[in-house]
Amino acid sequence: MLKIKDLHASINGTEILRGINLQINAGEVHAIMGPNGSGKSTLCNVLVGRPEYAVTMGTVVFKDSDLLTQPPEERARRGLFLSFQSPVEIPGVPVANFLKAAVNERLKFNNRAELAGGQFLKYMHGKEKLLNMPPELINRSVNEGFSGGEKKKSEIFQMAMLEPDLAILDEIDSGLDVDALRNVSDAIGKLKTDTRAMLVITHHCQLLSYVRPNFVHVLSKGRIIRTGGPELAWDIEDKGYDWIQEEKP
Amino acid sequence: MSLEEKYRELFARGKKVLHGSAPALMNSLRQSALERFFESADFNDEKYRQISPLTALYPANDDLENIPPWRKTLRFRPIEGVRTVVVKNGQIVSDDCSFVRNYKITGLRQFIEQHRDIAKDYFANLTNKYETPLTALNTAFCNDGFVIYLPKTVQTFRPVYIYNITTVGFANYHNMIIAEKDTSVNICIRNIVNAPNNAIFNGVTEIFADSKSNVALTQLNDGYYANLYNSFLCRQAASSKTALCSVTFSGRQVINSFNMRLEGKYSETRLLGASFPSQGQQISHLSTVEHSGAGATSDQLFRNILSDNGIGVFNGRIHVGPRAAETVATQRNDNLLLSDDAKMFTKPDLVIDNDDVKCSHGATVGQPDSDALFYCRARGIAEHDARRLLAKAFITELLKKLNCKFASEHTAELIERWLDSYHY
Ligand SMILES: Nc1ncnc2c1ncn2[C@@H]1O[C@H](COP(=O)(O)OP(=O)(O)OP(=O)(O)O)[C@@H](O)[C@H]1O
Ligand SMILES: [Mg+2]
Repeated sequence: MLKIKDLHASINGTEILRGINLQINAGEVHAIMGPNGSGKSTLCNVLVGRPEYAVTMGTVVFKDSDLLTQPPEERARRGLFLSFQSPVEIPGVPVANFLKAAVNERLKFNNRAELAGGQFLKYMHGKEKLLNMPPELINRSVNEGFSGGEKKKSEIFQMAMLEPDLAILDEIDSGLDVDALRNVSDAIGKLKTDTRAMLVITHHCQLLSYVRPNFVHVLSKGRIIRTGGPELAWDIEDKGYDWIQEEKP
Repeated sequence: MSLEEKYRELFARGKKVLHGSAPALMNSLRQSALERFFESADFNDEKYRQISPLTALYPANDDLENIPPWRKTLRFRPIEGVRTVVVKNGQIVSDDCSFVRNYKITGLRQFIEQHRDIAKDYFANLTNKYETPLTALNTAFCNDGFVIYLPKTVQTFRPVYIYNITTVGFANYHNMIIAEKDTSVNICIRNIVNAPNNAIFNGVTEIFADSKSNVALTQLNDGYYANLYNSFLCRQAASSKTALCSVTFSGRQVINSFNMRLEGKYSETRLLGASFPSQGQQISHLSTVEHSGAGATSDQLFRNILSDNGIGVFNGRIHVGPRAAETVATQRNDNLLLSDDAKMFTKPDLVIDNDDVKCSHGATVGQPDSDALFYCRARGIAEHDARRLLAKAFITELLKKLNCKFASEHTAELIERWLDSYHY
């Protein structure tokens, strides 16, 4: 699904990613943990093609194609999805209109029939039910005036609508209260399939105990310094990151 | 020949066409208005320089059907559920009579002739008091226009749709909306100039909103290569409400000016404006809101989307007089620049001579938000479509403030078409 090789990237001339190697196969869930500022969001932004970030070295193959040469919209249409750490507000654009445009772009790219008004609403209401999405959020403008938690819910809802092959969730669990965390985790659970891959970025084990990753990676100063099973996450929760860094030669 | 001589020659020629059949009330004001025009107009200003002795006072392109295919969105379509009036070169050519009505829509000349006593209290009342060079020019050359007259307590339910097409090279129409006590009316004017390049359309609309009346007026302008000047002057009595909205899609040089006189206590006005200056067009909105009655409210929102090398101007002024306690006045001007060559000049202004007021004003000029654009792209929406989405959203915020359903839907439809035709 995704193969990252020796990826280096910088912003404003400062190198942030310093040789990332990562392979994610269909159906797998990977988690990335790491201290603040280690480059987790940078990795996400580079993968979705944010123009401010310059890739200086390395390759990324997504679904057998060279990801880095594709414009952001093409990456999304091919099935790459990022739930942003801080999603922007778009006043005046209703969530439903926004998603209709996005969903139809993806369908069109895959040579499938676009959804007309009625069909789209039916499809959307199905997803609303599946995720217990409050309808009033969908009638509002994209993220406008949404609370932190509502923004995260809305990101997951967008993921459900777009049915991506690889979903990257950047701190989907930050700023959520206990119930909302369970809610969002449940939703992620429902969106897990045998073929869909996920990359979950988090600081907390709680989310991971719901989504049960196959692998946990630790990112530090722009490199993956350790990869392990789910138990690595608990060790980090107990002991922090220093002990891992100290182990490095 | 100097510019003044050109105007004088045109005026002399107009005497035959304009004066002969016009009512004395109109003719008596012409000569002095012309002189005041010469005194006040700055002839270095581009907007007065388009005139020539050859400028047509007669219809240049008389055929309503003869609208080029690329302008076919302008073509008249009857709309159900609204009273539709077609006005051509200042004269009413059709008025749909499919239902009973208790208020009048007539030509200006006819109104003056039939209701001399009413007309003399209103005609040129505001233009004389608050004259500008453009309204003086209008008074000098005025040939006709339309009048909507609502006698006391008449509440209209169907919106009035006026399809106003102008084909002459130099047009000076004077419209009046007279809303007596306890009346209400919703008006939507589609204002189209299908005339030769550099034609001048210089329209005046006087609005008289008596106590507890409610007047909503939306004007949708397409001037194409013509110069389009609209002067709205409005006097409001106690507890009257007005809502004026002006949307301009095209025009070589366009000036929409509003002069709102909130004289009565607790009167309210809302001014909305939108325009889309592109390709060498300059579109201005000038507003003056004078709060002289206590407890009055004014709310202004002007939003422009500028592209290519389009130029936009906003000059807004709120004045709160010494007797206007408890005034609430807001004024905003937001502008979206879709190109680096577009220019916006904005000058919101507030003068307050009273302590007991709540006022705010502000302006923004910006490009589409790059974070929002990227967010769209990351969801599969190409940059071009994302820009369109944001542009539409920008203008939708303004449409939400239009209370008349017909006017807001019609406006939304036209805006949609404009957005479709534009290459981002
Ligand atoms: N636009 C920018 N300009 C300069 N430096 C930047 C910019 N964006 C990110 N950085 C820097 O890049 C580094 C990595 O940031 P990044 O957001 O990827 O960290 P993170 O691992 O996601 O942290 P967190 O856990 O706090 O979300 C930080 O030192 C940050 O200050
Ligand atoms: Mg981050």
